[in-house]
Amino acid sequence: MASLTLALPSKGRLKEQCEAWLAKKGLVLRQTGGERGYSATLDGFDDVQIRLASASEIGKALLAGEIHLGITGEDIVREAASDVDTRLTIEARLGFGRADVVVAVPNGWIDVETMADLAEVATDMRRQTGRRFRIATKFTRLTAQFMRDHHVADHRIVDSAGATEGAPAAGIAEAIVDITTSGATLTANALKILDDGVILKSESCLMRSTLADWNDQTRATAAQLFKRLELA
Amino acid sequence: MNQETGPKMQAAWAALKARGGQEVALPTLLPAALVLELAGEDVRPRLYFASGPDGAELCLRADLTIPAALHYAQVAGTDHEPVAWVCEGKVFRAPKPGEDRAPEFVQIGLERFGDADRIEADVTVFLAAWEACQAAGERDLYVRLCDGGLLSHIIAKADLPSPWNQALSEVAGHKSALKRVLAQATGTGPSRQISALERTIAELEPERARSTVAEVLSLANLSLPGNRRLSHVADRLAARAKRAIAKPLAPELAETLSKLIHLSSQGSLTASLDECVTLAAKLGVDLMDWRQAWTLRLDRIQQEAPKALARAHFEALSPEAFDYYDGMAFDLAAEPNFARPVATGGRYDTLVGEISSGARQARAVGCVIRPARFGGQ
Repeated sequence: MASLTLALPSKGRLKEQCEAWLAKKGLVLRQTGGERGYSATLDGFDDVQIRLASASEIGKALLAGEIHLGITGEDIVREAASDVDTRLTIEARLGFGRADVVVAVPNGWIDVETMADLAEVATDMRRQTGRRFRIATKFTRLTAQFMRDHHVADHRIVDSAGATEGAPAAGIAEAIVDITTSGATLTANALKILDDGVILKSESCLMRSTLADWNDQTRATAAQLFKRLELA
Repeated sequence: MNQETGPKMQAAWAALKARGGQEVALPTLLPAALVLELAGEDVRPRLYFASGPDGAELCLRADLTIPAALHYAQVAGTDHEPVAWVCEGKVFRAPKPGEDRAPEFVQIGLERFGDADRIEADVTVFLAAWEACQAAGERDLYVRLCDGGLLSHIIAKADLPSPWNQALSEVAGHKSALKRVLAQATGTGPSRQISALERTIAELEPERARSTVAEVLSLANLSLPGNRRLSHVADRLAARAKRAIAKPLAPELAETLSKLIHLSSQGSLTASLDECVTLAAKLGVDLMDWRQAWTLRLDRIQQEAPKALARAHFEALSPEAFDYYDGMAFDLAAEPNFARPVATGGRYDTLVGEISSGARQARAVGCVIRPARFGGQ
C-alpha cells in the first residue's frame, strides 16, 4: 500500500520555518541525498514519504490530489484554482509565511481610498481615454474575482511576472495587486493600500488534499501525525 | 460549411444566408489583450489562452462579433464601407461552474457593417435570426428587445440638477455603476464624511483647486505616476465632495430614473415603449423620434414575420452581458427567463472604432445563433 506523502518547501526561509515548527513538536526532518536532495524522512514516521518542492508545486500537487498533505501558502492555492475548498482542507494555520494580498494605488491619488473610488476612477478613465484601467498582478484569478465582487467594471489585468510594485511608475499599469508583509516595499514605491483593499490575509498552512488516494493506512498515519503535531 | 452539424443547423444556415451576405472566414486566434480590452475581465475565466512563438499572448475566439469587427477594421477601404457577412464556426468558452456543456460549440452569424439605414439594417438582422430559428423548427420563441443607447440618451438630455446630471451621465452606459450613483443621489448609498481639504476644493474654481492639490501633494511628498494627471485627481476630488454635500435628487426624479433602469414589462411592446416616452418626458426629454424609429422597426418586423412579436417584451437597458451593444438589441429563447437564448443580436456602432483605436469607424449590427441549443438542449 502506498505510504502517506507530505510535501514541504524545499528551500529558503519557508523551509527553515517549517523545520523549526516540526522541531517544536519534537519532529526532526532528515534530508536524504544531502542539502540539495529533494526527499527526506521524518524521525518516528517511517511510513511518511516526505517530498521537498517549491511552494507553487506543492499547491498544484495538493489541488491535483498527487500528494496527501502539504505545507504551502494559502495565496498560492487560492490563486491556482476557483474550487479550492472542494479540493483541499486547511488543517492548520502555521503563523509564519504571513503575506496579505492587497490592492495598491499611487499615494498621490488622494481622491481614492476605497474600492468604490477605484470603480469610479476606472469608469472615468475608460470614458476619457477609451482604454480600460490597468491592474498589474501575478494574482489574476484572485484579482478578477475581487474586482467582480466590488463592481469594478472597466479594468484590465496585466500579467506581471515580477517587480509588480514598479508597474505604476513604469507606466505599465495604474494600480497593482501584490503581496505585502509590512507594507515597506509599497511605501518605498510611493503606493498605498486601499482601506478595503485586502483581498486575502494569507499565511503558510498545512493542507490536506481531498482528491488524494486515501486509504485506511494513510488515514491512520495522518491521524498519528496530526496527534503528534497537536492538531487532532 | 461543417457537414457534421445536422439538418437543423443547415436549415438555419440556409435561412440566414437567404437574408443576404457573403460567406467569410474569421480569425480563430485573437490578441488576448484586445479581447480583454473590448469584452472586459469578466470574460477572462471563460477564455482559452495560447502563446505565440514570439511570446505574444493570444486567445481562442469566444464569439464571432469581435473577430468580425476586427476583420472589418483590417479589410474595409473606407469608414462605413457597406458589407454583409455570414459566418460559421466554433467558438471557445469555458463552461461556468455547474454548466454542463462542451467548452467549444458552433455559432452561425450575420454581421452587417456600414448600412446607411440603421432601422432597415436592424430589422434585416432581427428577421435573419428569427427566420433561421424558425427554419430549424424553433417555434413559439420568446423575444426580448432592448435599447442599449436609450438610458445614455435620456440622461444626457435630462433636466437634472448639478452635480447629479454629470455624475449620472458619466455612468449611463453601465447598469451597476448607474445604480450606484443613483443610490448616492438619493442618499440611500453609503454616506461618507468629507475632509476639510475636500470641502475647500469643492468651493474653488477648477484652476485654483488644481494648484491647491498640487501644493498638498508636494508638501506631503506624494507622487502621481502614470496616466492619471493632477487635473484628474483634483477634478474628481471636487466632484466627489460636491456629491457628498449636494442636496439629494428629488424623489420624483430618482423614482423616474429608477423606473427606466428597471423597466422590463412582460406586457405589450407598445405600452412599454409609450411608458419610456412618458417617463422621459418627466425628465424633460422628448423621445418622439426614438418612439417613431421603434414603431418603424416593429411595423417592418410585423409585416414580414407576423408571429415574431407574439411573445415579445421590451427592456430599457441591455443586460450587463451585452457590453458593446449600444442600440437595438435582442435575444430569442425557448424559455421566458432568457437564461439560454438560441439567438442574440444587436447594434454595436462603436466597436469597430474601439477595435482599431479610432482608425476605422462603421455602423454595425449583427446576430449569432447557437444551433446546439435547438430543441431545448
